[in-house]
Amino acid sequence: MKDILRRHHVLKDEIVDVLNRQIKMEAHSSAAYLAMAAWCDVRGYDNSADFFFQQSDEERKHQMKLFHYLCDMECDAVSPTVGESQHDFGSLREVFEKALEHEIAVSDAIHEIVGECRKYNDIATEEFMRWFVQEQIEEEYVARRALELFDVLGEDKIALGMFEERILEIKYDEG
Amino acid sequence: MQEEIYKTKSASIAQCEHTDSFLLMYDQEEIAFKLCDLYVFRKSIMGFDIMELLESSAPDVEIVHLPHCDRFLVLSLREILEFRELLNGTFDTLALNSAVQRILRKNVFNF
Repeated sequence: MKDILRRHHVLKDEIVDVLNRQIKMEAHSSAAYLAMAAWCDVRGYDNSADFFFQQSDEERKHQMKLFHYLCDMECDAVSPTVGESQHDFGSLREVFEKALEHEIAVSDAIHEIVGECRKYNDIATEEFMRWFVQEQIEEEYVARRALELFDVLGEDKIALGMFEERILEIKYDEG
Repeated sequence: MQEEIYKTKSASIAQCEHTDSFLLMYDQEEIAFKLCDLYVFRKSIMGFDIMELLESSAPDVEIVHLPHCDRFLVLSLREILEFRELLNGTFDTLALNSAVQRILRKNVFNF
């Protein structure tokens, strides 16, 4: 009997479910970073706002990468609903604290997907997820480094000005 | 060529090897599904809360929309349970066939 299941539905249901959950998480992250960008923007932290606008775009790209993968595998990609994001923060440092928490949660979720791939012997998806694992190393590094700047510079007005000058220069260098 | 995959008392699903589609035979009608549409149908059927339907005082029929062919099925609780059995049986058989075919594929390159 012809194997239509394998021809037209490459991934197991369990893998489709975790990838759809990740799509939702990336969409929520994108929205959360947009809220952070707005908070920074109206308080005059222009570079921090740019940082979060860029982060929001990145998360959207991650979402779409997963979305296209599911479509390419002829699986059901679900366009997610996104809940409310946090719009109020006590300080610029708190915004970056939240960003790091967010990145750690995303990393955990990515690692769980890799775990599921191994459980179901889905070599192709595990290989596809490798890019996300690497990406999260970079994302977490940048968020952690930003927080370290507060530790080094402090949080008075001059320090926040210096933070603003440096935030867009933080880059992950593998070497 | 059609191969019957699973059959219950009043419904059956066959796969059409020529069109890579599935044919639901139910109530003297034949409805064709692509695999992705069959997944959508299964999701609808599995989405009903059976306990809630049992406890409900409303008439025990549910309407299922089949968007790929713009048709509706009006199903009683008994029919929903039967469709659950039909779809679970179908997907289990398809998974079993996939497993068998995977073993057979190993023999394709029989050096």
